[in-house]
Amino acid sequence: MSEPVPLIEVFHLTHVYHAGTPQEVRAVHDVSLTVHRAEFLALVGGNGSGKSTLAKHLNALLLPTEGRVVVDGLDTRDPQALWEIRRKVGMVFQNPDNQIVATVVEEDVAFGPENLGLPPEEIAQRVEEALRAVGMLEHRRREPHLLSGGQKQRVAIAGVLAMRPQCIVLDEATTMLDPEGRREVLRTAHRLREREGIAVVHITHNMEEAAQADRVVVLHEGRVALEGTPREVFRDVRRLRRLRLDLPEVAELSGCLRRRGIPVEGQPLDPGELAAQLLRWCGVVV
Amino acid sequence: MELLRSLTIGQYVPRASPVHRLDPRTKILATTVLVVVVFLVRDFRGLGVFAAFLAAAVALSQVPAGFALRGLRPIWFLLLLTLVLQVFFGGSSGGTVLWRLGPFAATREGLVQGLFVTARLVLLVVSTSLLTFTTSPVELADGMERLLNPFRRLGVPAHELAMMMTIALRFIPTLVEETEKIMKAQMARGADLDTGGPLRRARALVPILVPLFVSAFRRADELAVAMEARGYRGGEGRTRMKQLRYRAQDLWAGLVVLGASALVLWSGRI
Amino acid sequence: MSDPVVVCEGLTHVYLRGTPFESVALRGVDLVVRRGECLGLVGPTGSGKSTLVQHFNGLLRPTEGRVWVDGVEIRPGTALVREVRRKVGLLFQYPEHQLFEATVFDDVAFGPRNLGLDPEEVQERVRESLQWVGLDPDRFGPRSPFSLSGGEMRRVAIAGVLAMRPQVLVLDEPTAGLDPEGRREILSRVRELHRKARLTVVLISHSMDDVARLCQRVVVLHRGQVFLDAPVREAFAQADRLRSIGLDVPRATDVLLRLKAAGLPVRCDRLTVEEVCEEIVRVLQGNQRWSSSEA
Repeated sequence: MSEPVPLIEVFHLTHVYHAGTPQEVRAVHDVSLTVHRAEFLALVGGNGSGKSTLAKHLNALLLPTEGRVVVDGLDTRDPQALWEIRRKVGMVFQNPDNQIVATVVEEDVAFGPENLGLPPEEIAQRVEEALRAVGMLEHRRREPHLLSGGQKQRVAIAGVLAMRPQCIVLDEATTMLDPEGRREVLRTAHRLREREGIAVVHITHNMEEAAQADRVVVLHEGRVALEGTPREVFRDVRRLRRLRLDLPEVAELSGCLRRRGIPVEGQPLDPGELAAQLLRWCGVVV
Repeated sequence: MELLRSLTIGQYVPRASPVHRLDPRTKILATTVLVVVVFLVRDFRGLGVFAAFLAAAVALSQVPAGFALRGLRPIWFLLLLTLVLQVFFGGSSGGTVLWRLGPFAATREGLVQGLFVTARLVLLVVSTSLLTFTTSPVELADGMERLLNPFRRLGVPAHELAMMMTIALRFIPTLVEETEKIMKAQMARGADLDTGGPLRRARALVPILVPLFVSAFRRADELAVAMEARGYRGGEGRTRMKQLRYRAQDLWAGLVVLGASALVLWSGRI
Repeated sequence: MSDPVVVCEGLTHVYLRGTPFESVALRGVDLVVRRGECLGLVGPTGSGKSTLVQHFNGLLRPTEGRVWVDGVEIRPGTALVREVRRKVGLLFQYPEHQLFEATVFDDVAFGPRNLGLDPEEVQERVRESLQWVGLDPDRFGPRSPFSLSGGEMRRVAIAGVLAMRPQVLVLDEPTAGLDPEGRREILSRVRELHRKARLTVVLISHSMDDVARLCQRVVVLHRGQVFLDAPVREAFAQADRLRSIGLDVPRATDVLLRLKAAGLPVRCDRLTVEEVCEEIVRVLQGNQRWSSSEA
């Protein structure tokens, strides 16, 4: 794999809500972080860990109280760069119903490019490409409220995609979906990463989903508590427990087997991987 | 409660008729002209010509005639009241008395006047509903925005009005669904929504309205953030994917409406 | 076997019958919920789960078929429906969205007050219900529900239903949208309500893990019909059938299924991580290669 190139750099970010009032809350505390081009990064943590606050800094919806966020060379505190940053880093939010603006799917996808002031022909072309990329082209004329949760989120992703971004932030975008909807959205995100080289920052508290990322950053009480590949992060069972997070079930099972004297190697994260290892162990050829 | 689910706003009837295909701006302007004309008509002959023209337009639009008249249902009481009031008080004092009801006298002039005003109201309602039957809410909002655009310098918030209308249309089904859910949830906690006097019933709405407002504000908040994240900064510098273009058919439609209006207004003098 | 508390017979429900929007949500569902059990109700989105449970307390009326609760048939529009609503407590998805009072106490008291109970009784029920969901009545009672965390708000909503003192508690996706901590908290409260308060629980969930941990029996709905009705262990051993309609099995169980498919003599009716671990150790220890490598 080639050397990772930084896309978004967060330097010593601190964010304080309602500074100077009795409700003052320090949501993010001295966090430094890099999102690389075309990587799939999972940002996990429980409620109040600061993950959504951090996410909103990635496209200047929030500005740092202290520290700096730089997106592709642009500082988010620079008002001149604001709209270019929002174009480069798109966001999909938790509630699918509360981010769709228009009453027809394709017009909603057109909303972003329209804000960019592009000529109509180009908007139409981008809308079509974006809807095709998320597999929603056949639903282009439908009313959004008649779609399933997973379909609505894919429309939201298409809306971001039509801006030709370099990074998509999924801010708990799978939290309100059923398992089928979650799979749809994640499959779409992974495909965009592979085909278009778009970086994905997936914010979630679902560990099974985090296990599919290239890299996992665990936030706890506003600070980075753990960082590494999923295999590295999920090996630290005790630490995760203390952070009040779940382990992926397969990781937990591997840990249990190890304690019973079965030397499970590495850190299998999906059932197939663990089963294959166990079968090799008893000499069954797979 | 299930009725909420079938509620549709704007009563748009999707068809592929020539009326549907007209530019929404043409239809908005034409309807405005027709509304003005219906108020200027002074005689029954004019109303007759108007009605004939409207009937032709409805037929052309492929909207079922019965459906077109359904717009009258919510206001039948108003129509009846207008008629009755006109019959008794509409004619100038001293007209031909038809019959008496206590101290009130129904006059022949009153009856004529009453029928005239009622007919005018009916035509008014049918003309405006023809607009909503044949134009989707989205097209309406679009057409309004573009018609108002030249007046922006005078402080008319054309873009903002259209955006508000679009968002309202987008969220009506969502909020209807939500209302239904909250009603059911409170009924499951023993809330009684259908018995008692008006005051009791009004108070019974609090457990539904409060959560509904809380959620509407939350939605508005989240939507605002989402729109900002997608680069929205008002109407300035914004383009649209869908362009509206006047075509030959719009010119013809405009001429037909103007011609019909002239005929309506001058028919009495011929 | 204990006695039935909710019985549905040939239950069919059609939304907006006779309009262009007509849709059949349930067709001929036969179902018995037994007193004291914890029943898992699963199925893909749109399979009719929510429609079904709304018949349990008369919020919806059957298009065809009949429903009995505690031996009495529900006939909508009669005073009996109110009686039934008291017996079956129903929690919708994201129930925290129904909170409306200025204080937690008043919100939980909404149900008991609707029952016309006297203030002392209301007070007692509110305190008891808050304790069941693990919220200290003295600390949380006077606070505004809107100042609480998502998980706490949801527990207040559950307390609001418990204060009706239902015999059956129906929970529609009680853990949706919560973080792992909040999810564990809710599930352990539900388990306690089932075991200690002896409530009959019907749990609607997409999470097979949650169902596996809490329930004894699972009913799978698919396109408005009962697709499977079996004890939990039997149900998850039929992974192929579940997968055919887009449902998962717990991922630990999945490991067993794969071992079995490769010819190992494992039993697949094991659900929790510990059980699965035990089963794998048992089978591997019996395996020749394993024993020889140990030696």
